[in-house]
Amino acid sequence: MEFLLVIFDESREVRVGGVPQGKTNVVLQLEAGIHRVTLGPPNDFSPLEQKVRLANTAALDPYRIVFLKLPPAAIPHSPGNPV
Amino acid sequence: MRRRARLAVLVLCVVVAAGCAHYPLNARLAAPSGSGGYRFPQMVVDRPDPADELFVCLSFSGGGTRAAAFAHGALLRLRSTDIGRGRSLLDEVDCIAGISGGAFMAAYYGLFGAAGLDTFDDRFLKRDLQVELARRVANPVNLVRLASPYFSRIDLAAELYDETVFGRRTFADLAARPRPFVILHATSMANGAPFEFTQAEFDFLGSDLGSFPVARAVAASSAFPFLLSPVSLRSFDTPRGYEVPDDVTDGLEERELNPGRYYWAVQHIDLMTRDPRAPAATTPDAKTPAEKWVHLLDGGLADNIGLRSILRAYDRTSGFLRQRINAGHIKRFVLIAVNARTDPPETLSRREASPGIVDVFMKTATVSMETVSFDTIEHALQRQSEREQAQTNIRRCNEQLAKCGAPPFSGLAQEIRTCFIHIDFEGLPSPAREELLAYPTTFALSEEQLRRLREAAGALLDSSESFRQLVRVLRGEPGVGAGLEGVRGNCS
Repeated sequence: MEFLLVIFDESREVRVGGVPQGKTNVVLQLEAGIHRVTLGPPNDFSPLEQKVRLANTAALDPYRIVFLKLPPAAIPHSPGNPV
Repeated sequence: MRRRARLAVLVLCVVVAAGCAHYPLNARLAAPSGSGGYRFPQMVVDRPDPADELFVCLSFSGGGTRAAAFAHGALLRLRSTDIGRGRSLLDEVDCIAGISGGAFMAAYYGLFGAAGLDTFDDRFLKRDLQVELARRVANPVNLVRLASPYFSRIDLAAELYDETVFGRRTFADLAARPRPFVILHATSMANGAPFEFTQAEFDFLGSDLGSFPVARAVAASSAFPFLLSPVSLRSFDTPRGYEVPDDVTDGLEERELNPGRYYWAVQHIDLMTRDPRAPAATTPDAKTPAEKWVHLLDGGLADNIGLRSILRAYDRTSGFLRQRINAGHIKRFVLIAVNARTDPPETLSRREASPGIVDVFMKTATVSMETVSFDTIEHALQRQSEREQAQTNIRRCNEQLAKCGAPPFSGLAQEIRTCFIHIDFEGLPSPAREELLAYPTTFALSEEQLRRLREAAGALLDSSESFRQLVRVLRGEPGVGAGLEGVRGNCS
């Protein structure tokens, strides 16, 4: 198994492969291979999705990805966007 | 002349009746089910379900009535194991995987709950299903039905189980009791892949599991090659709007790094009438319904111990265990494998003559069951060890950081206590071990044999140090070695 750390300014739900999978800033244990990672709503983060390839990680050396929190003016508005 | 006419009419009736006999088709799925149907309840990260804290999964192996009685004994022992606060360990069981004979017990308990443990003897264990099935086969009406290419012995067996064991219950009835979640297994004849009777699996068939008889799933799980024919399912075009889960599409992108996940993904795409990866130009006319059938044999061919579906739920991103572990909802994970494997005296290697065709048939049908079983047990132990190692590393690192006044390293959501218990007849003292290891795989055992099997399951759990430790801890009693770091599988 591999390890992933999703870094974000606040505690937010992490979705891997389209399903809820824990929270930001906490190490997640996942299978080796490709995973698509995003955060739960609101969509005030960038990028909207990241694709990672997990291999050769360790609990103390997880794969790290960062989502940036967008200022309100930079949040894209779209129908159904829960922002 | 008149006799000939009568004969002709009779033959015509037989042909018509035979032509009409058809196994019951699984239902088409009207709309993408997403989260509906028979699947483990969805998790909400911010709203942990207290039922998840102590998460107990059981696996019941194949082995005919022997396996069902052994699993029955294990459930009875869990029911009589008080863990305090008026609860028994049986009350904490969240999922059960069942194969073949073990599938009978798993499905029956899933449908009828703890009360069903008191009726299972009469409804299944004490009966001679082989004789009952033979009688049904000999019935002239059924002989005619069996002449149809679309109706075979397994369909008669499924009818027998449906009427006399499971009371015509369907997966919608099973879903009425969300826990334990029962995973019944079969094996796909096309590629040898394990097949799970869950809505997530039926989604790939474009089919609704809700109306499917539980008995038919159990029949598929116990369709021993050569003795019984396969259970067939139709794969329909998936409903408009259905999207292949990301876990599958992502798995297909990476073969070298994780071949297990890749082939799991390929096997699921194989269930579909059309390969969603294929360019539109290469697929048949989209307006023409594509036809595909999945033929299922004994689940033991792919996994005779039943652990693999639980391990997939542990490994896969979409797995109900993986999600709950990463969300920190599970604090203690207990996995009990109830394995009724036997080791009958081997005579083939004492004979100079090359084994005959019957021996070869029987060996080909069973030899893979043993090797795969050992692999899955090792897989479970490896996963347990990996998790404990990761937790220990992070804990020790943070202890060192604390000494320097440094902020702690981002840890896992929850340090989980794991407990893997595997019981089989090898753990019995002699001569009981030799006696039970020689029990046949059949659907008819004597009451004395049933009693011994049930008692053996209880005795094996009682004599398991891990099980005793687990019960002490759950009761809040001090356990031997409690809190010892790095003690694998100590269930502390």
